[in-house]
Amino acid sequence: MSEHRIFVHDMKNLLGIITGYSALLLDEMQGDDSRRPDVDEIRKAGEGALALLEDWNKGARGDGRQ
Amino acid sequence: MTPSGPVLLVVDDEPGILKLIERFAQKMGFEVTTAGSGLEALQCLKSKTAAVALVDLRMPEVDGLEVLRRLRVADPNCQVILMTGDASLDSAVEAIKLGAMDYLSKPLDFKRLETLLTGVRDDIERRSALLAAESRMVKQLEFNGMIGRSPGMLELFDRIRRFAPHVRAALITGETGTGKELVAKALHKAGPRAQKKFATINCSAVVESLFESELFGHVRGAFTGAVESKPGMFEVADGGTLLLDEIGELPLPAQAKLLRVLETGEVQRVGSVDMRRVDVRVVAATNRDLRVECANGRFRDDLFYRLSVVELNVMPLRERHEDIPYLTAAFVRHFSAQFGKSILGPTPAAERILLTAPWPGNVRELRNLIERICILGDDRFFSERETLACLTTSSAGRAATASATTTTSSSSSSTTAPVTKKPTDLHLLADAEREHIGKVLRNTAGNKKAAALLLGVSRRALYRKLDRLGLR
Repeated sequence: MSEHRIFVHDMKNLLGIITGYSALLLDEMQGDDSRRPDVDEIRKAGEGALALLEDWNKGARGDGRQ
Repeated sequence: MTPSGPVLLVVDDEPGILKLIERFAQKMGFEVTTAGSGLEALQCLKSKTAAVALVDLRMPEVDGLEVLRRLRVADPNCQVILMTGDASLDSAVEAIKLGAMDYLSKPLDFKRLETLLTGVRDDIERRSALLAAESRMVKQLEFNGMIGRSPGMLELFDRIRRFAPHVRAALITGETGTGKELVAKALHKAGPRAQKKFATINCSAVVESLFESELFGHVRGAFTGAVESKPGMFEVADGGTLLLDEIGELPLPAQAKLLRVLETGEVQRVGSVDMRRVDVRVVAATNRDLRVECANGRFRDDLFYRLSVVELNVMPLRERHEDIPYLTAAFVRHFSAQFGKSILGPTPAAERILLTAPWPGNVRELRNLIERICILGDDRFFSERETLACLTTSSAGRAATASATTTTSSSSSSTTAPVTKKPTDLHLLADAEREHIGKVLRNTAGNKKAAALLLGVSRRALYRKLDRLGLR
């Protein structure tokens, strides 16, 4: 496995932990919990980072082929 | 063992992922075991079986596909879900080919994972409910300690009910382990003598010279060693029922005396001149064909006719396989409770083995098998692997292995699978015995008395062995 792929794999794992735990927390929190928006921000940022990683990965792979 | 949720094994080299999935699955009611590497996972599985495993594809040393491959062999009942952050079509196809249940890409879609795990949990719950229903049915199907819903058994129960109030003598026939003694007890319990004594004498366990004394008793000084007067089994069972088990082993002189007692209703203790009246219902049981024994002069015709006024035949287990699930349920409940386990019953694959095994030792063999499984097992379902392992220790094992199925399909509902496993060529003790006895018999030109002498066993013991080994 190339260094690049290892990097993507590990990043996905870490970001998955961020989004996964925020989802768990949101699931366990009462609907009116005042901390919900904060946790939701974490989740959104995690998902944003994952999307970014995905795009970057596609771009990088595309470059590699050319 | 307290009943807990199904076991989920999670394998990933990223500790954060392990903890996350553990939290998630515990919320769903799973008991979670985690392993930080493929090697650790394989170690885990030696001591524990999982209902489902969630395995990361990319791991150093032993990767996910290898874990999957080994798991399919070690425990085909464990569902495997692979996950990877680096999805490629090739590895997905390979995983499904190897029998993975599904293939998830990372970051995990927890909704999808929930659906998958719910499916596994529901399968287990459905199986538990089915086995519990079978276990409840057992009560309704039981008749005096016997369990059956097959036409043959229902007819037998019906005949016992009809004969029990009137019968004076009966003959129960059936292969070894079919439950002839239970039939005799049922005849006793369902009849007017239910509150009276039920006595058993095993004719193959009595020394030839002591038969008379055992059956009819003796007075003091009747023979050397007769220091006190002793009543025989007929007097012990007076008013009740006497079971003469393995009647085919009764020597001819004793047969003549038994016949006399049956005809006159009087016994004479050895060494006494007095006749004593006894009122005993005699039930004889044998796994031999007494008609053949009569034809060969080993059993008295007149005694046979006397006993066979009522003849009850107990079917071999292989001819009533529809009873096997209920018998299994009853034995599992009994032994699971006895050994403090929470075993519910077989997996569908294990049940197929139970249904198709030849069972030469009949219900007794099934009972012994379930006992062994309950001693060794810990999970709520016992697998085909455990069943085969315990079966191969009995003679049925070899044939059962041949009819067993090794399937790589992950679907637990598949009903047929090709026979791919060959019977292991174990050299059983019984084989060695059969071979040796056969050789000795050839040397004595079939003379059993001479063969018994050469083998250092009694002639009766040799006959028993021949019967058991199917050499007669």
